[in-house]
Amino acid sequence: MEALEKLLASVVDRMGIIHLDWRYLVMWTVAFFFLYLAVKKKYEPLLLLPIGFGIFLVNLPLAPLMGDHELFWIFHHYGIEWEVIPCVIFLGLGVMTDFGPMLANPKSLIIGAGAQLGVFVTFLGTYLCGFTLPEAASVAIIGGADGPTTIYLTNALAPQLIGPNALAAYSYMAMVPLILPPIIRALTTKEERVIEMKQLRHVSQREKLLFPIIGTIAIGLMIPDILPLLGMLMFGNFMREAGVVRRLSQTAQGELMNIVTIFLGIAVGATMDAENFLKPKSLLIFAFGMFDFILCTAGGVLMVKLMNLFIKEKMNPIIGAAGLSAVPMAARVCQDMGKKENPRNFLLMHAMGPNVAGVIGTAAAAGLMIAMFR
Amino acid sequence: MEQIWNQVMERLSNPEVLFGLAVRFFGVFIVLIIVMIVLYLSGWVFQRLEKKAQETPSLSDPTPSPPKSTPNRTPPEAVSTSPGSTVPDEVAIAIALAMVPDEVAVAVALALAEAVEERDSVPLLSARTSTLGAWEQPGSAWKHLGRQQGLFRKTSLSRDITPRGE
Repeated sequence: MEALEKLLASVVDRMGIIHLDWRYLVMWTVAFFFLYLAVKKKYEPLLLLPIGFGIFLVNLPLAPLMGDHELFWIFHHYGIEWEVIPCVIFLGLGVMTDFGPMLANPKSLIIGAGAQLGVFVTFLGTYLCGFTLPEAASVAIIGGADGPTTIYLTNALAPQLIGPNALAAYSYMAMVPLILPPIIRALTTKEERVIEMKQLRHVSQREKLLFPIIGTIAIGLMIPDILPLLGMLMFGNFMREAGVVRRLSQTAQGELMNIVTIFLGIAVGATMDAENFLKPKSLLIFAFGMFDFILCTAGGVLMVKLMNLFIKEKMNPIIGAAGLSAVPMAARVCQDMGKKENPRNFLLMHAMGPNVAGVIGTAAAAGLMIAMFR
Repeated sequence: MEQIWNQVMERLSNPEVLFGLAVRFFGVFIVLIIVMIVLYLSGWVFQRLEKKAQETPSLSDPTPSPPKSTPNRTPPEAVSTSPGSTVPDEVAIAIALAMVPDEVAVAVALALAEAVEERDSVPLLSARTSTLGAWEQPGSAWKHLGRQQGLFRKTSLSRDITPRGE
């Protein structure tokens, strides 16, 4: 009889429902919120959907998913901790990116640098709020709106924050269409927003082909710490521009990118179990992430306004907001906004310059942080 | 509150952090400005090279460029309406028209127009006949019958599967 009781107790004890408490329910709410954003609102569904489902799965009590050598642990360990997935994503990003607009207007690199304002201000803010220096650096990079860079830097400096950091980065990236317009409107006048920009010069194929090599030398010699990310970005772009490895570039931007996106989403979501996530620090990270995004957008817009004081052909300050990486959503938001202000305004290609410059700027900032704190 | 304030002040008193922060922020600018300069330089070089490449073939091409006018057309003087004659076509037509009375000219014009109309309508007509001819192709009577039955079945089947009321 006693043995039967023991057996029953052990069976009941192995049932998840016995271990369910309010924290799991809160995490389910968080998971369903992300699934709602992905499915209903279609905000970055490719990422928010696997992240949301990952959160949901790991917050089922006793789920054998994130223990040592369990399924999600394997995804996380080999994909993220080994820094494989962010770099492979950068490879795909490189294949998909056209650096032409940036090459036609290299000034956009300065806009990309200006948009890093939030990263450094947030770094100071988080540090003053009690985060350690590496933690502060990893939280600050959220404002760069570059998911893979955020994951890469956080994993290098503060792996314990990878869940909230990645989630904050991707969820704010998804909300770029909501965050950018009010900030742009607040910082610019109507006259500035209707400025029409001259068509960009033609960039030859040879120039596009050599940029990945020239860019890698220029940045790699100064910040070698960021070469795993930036090198893959440039490699992908070289494959694209070379045009002789069509199959490879199609795989890199297609199937490979899709596969790593699934594993990235699930692995990031899996880091957000109730015990790790429900802490004041996580809420602070979300608050600082939003502050960071706002400051980075403002930094880009203000940088264009500053540059307009010195240059002959004025730039439309709307494109400054695209200095936030979030490729290509930030540029699209700028195009839509510019067209609303002036129907003859076509800012997409002008905004793509700061947009890809933002990717390089965020990578540069991350590289400098890693160099200092690793 | 006071404790937090003290903590903030203590952290702020660390000059290394603020200095490092400033260095890093300007570091990003320095790196990107260097890349920008490199891109300006390479862009300038590539533009020059492209310009040169565009200029080179036109300079080295030994064949003379075609003149602006269209010299391919043979001058009117050279065209002869009849062997041994040097009168150009336009002049010959004008002379002929002047020699022919108006009624004759109108009749000729009408006849020509009719002829042209007839010629243009031939392909249309032949097209129509060829379409109809698909049913009248040479072959056995059984073949034609089979084809007709097939068509009938198709139409009846399509009638059967069409929902009622539609």
